Amino acid sequence: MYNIRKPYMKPDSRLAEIVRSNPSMLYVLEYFQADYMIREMTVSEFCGEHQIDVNLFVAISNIYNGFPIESKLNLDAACIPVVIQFLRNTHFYYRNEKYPEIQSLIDELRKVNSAAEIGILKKFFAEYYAEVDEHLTYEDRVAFPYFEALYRKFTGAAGADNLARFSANEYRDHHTDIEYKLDELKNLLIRYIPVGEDRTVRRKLLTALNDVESNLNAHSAIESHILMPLVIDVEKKLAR
Amino acid sequence: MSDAKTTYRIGIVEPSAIINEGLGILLLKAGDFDLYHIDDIADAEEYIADYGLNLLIVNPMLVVQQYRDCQHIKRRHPDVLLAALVYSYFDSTLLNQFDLCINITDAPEKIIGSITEKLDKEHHADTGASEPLSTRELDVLRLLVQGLMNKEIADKLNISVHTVVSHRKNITQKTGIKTLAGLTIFALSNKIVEL
Repeated sequence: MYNIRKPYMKPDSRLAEIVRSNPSMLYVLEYFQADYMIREMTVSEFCGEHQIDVNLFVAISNIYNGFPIESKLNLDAACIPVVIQFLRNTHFYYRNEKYPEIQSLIDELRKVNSAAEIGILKKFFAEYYAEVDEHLTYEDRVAFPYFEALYRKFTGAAGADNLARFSANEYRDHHTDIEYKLDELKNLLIRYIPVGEDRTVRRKLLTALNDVESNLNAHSAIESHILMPLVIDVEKKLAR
Repeated sequence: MSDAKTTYRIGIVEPSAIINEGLGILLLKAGDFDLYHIDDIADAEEYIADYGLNLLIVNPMLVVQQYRDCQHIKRRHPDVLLAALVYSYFDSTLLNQFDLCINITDAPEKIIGSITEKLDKEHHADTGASEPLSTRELDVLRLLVQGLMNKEIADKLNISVHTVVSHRKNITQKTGIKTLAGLTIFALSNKIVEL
């Protein structure tokens, strides 16, 4: 987890080596809906087999592995639906796995620590999660369909006229707020929640919060550095 | 101890890939920034419009070569700060046109420090000094946690709603906590209120 010298992925890297030293790669593979019995495959070979654009795979993997983003990625517009499917899969993971896990750890914490603060923390989390859910729903129902329609229009398949106009600023504000509340939740747990017989549960809870935090950070980096530039590019080409 | 963070969006206009990437890595390692590598000053405006950049770090040589593009950016986007990335001698009249200078020989901490300071100042962000809450702020916090609205708090304490709002702002700055539930936990945990 704290290995700082992670290998940087390139198209000719051996994928197994990268996965071995970057635990976050397991998420990337899962969200690309790719199973792994990778043998000695290089990244390009793996992408060829799974029909994934290799530049997209490398860009997303390196984001998950904590490397800075190169802004000129020159990705193909055909990556738009792929990135969206990837992000939808992350949503599924948040909704059906990670947040329920955090929820049950808070319940567990409450069982071993009777401090009143924990009741409030539970409420805090419920409100925070409602907001996350609202944002994910917004992406699923407004932002992504808008991008997909735009892409279909770009490929000449259909029009994008009757869709609610998506706002990049609104999108950004949502993110900031969600990141802020998650940070506050950690802050409260570390600074102000009275300690009971709860060391293990608290560690599990904070670890889960850290996991979801880095996952969300990667999620929003993909949106702002991969998806948005692709969408903006398509919008510009359509406007010509 | 305030944790209220702002993610600043910074564009680096620098033709040398090594310097561009290197500065980028330094910034990403040290702070919460979104970075955009821009190859040509002529593209900078597009990035400003598309991503709402807060700061442009520019090689002053480009300003000499593309003087009009730069003047155009300064006129059209006065809210975007301009920093010069200095690695050779430049005339001071040229450098004076920038809001701040980054010397390539500066220590990383100094570079990050001056960038953050400039941006925080521009955006009136708090600098995170930890101070205890004042008696008045404690009064406001107690009533807030009891579920009172700003107007009710103002009436109870005989102060204006405006003053309540400014106390609330200070409380958030000092504690790093924004939400009501969070403030309740803070107040309980510090024995400012009891259940």
